[in-house]
Amino acid sequence: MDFKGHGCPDPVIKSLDRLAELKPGETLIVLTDSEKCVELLEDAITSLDLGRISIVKLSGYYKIILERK
Amino acid sequence: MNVRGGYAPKTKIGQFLERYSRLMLIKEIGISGIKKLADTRVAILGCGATGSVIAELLARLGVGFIRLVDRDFIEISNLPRTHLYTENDVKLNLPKAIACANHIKEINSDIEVDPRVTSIISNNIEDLIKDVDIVFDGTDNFSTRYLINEASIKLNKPWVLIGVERWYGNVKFIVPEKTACLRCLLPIPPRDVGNACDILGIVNTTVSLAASIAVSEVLKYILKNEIGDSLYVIDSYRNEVSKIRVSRRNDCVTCGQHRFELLKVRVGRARAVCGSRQVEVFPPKPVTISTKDLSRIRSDEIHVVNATEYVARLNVADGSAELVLFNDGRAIVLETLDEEAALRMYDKLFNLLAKQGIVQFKT
Repeated sequence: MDFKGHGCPDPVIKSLDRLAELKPGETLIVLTDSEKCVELLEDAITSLDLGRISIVKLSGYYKIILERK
Repeated sequence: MNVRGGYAPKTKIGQFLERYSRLMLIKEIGISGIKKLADTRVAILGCGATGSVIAELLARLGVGFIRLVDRDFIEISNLPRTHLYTENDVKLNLPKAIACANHIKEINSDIEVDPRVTSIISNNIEDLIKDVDIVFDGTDNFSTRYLINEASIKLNKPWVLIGVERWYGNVKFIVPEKTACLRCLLPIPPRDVGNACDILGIVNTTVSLAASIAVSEVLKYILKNEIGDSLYVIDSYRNEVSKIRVSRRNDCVTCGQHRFELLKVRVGRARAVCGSRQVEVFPPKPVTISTKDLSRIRSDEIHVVNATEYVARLNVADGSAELVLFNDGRAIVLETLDEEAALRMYDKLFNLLAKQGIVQFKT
C-alpha cells in the first residue's frame, strides 16, 4: 500500500484494516513519508498485539513490513 | 483483533480507530492510549451536574466501562446546570442514571454502560466500586464524599473529589497510599447544611470547568501513571484556577490508620435525605415493582400522579403525603423529616401493592 504524500492518520487506519484481512504469517508492505504514521503503526502493532513490524528508512520515505499474528 | 472494554469484535480495527483518529494523533495518547482508555472501568457516583459532564467526556474518550449511579430522577430545575439531559427526559420522568446511560450510549455504542438507580450508602458502596479502576464523585454532599473516601481507601481505588457551588469549585485527585485523602484535607467533616444545588445554586460553567479538570487529572493517570497531588480551586467568575499542594497526614483516621467508621454504619430502612425535607425508605426485602402498572391500582388511598417503567409519583393517604416510588422498591417520601411516619406509610403502601400483585420478590 503506497501512502506517500498522504497525511496521517488515514494510512494507519487503512493499513490496519488491510492487515486484519490477512491470514496469520502473511505480510503487508506499507510505504509512507509520514513519521507520525510510522510512530502510530508501531504503537498499534505493539500495544494491540497485532503482529510484527519492521521499519526500513529509505530515501524520503519509509518501507514498513507488517506481519499478521 | 479486538480491544477489551466494549470494542465490538465485528468492527474492523481500522473502523474502531477511525472514531479516535484525531485523538490518537496527540503525542501523550497515541493508539496505546486509546487502548488504555478502552480497558479502563470507572464508576460515576451521582449523575447530576458534574456527573453528567464527566459521563459525556469519558464516553467520547472511549472509556470502556462506565457505571452510572444515582438515586434521583430528572427535574426541570436540573436542566440549566446539567449536560446531556433534555426536556423530554423530564417529561418521561426518567431516573438520572437511566437517562445519562441512554445519552452516552447514543454518543458511543462501543462502550459498556451500567446504570444503577440506587442510593449510595454504606450497605452498597463497596459493591458499586469494587470492580472498577477509578471512581468519580458526582455527589452534592459531604456525608457521601466521606463514605466514598473510606470505601476507596479500603478497596485501593483512586477517586476524584469534585465540589461545586455558585461560581466556585474544588477538584482533588486522591490515590490511596500516594496522595492526601479527603480526611487529610478536612479531618473534621463539615456539616451538610443543605443541597448545594438547591440552596446555593450552581453556574454551569463552573461545573464544566471542574469536571474537565477532574477528567484531565484521570487521563494523565491512565495514560502516564502521573499522579497530581494538588487541590484545584476554581473561580469561574474571575476565570481563575489555583493549585494548592496538600500533604498526607500520618495521623489521618482514614488513609493513615485505616479506620473505616462510616462503612460500618448500616443504614436502616428509613433515613432522612441529607440536605432536604425528604425521607428515603427501602423495601423490607429485595423486590421489583412494576411501577408502570400502578395506574391500574384500585384504591381510595392512592392516587397515581404519573408512572413510568422506572418510577412513579403517588399521592397517598387522602393526598396529605406525596412519594416517589422506584422500581427497585425504594421510595422517597416528600416534605417530611419523620422517618418513623414515612416508614409506616411506606409499609402500608407496600402491603397494598403486594396484595395486588404489583410487587415481585427477588429470590
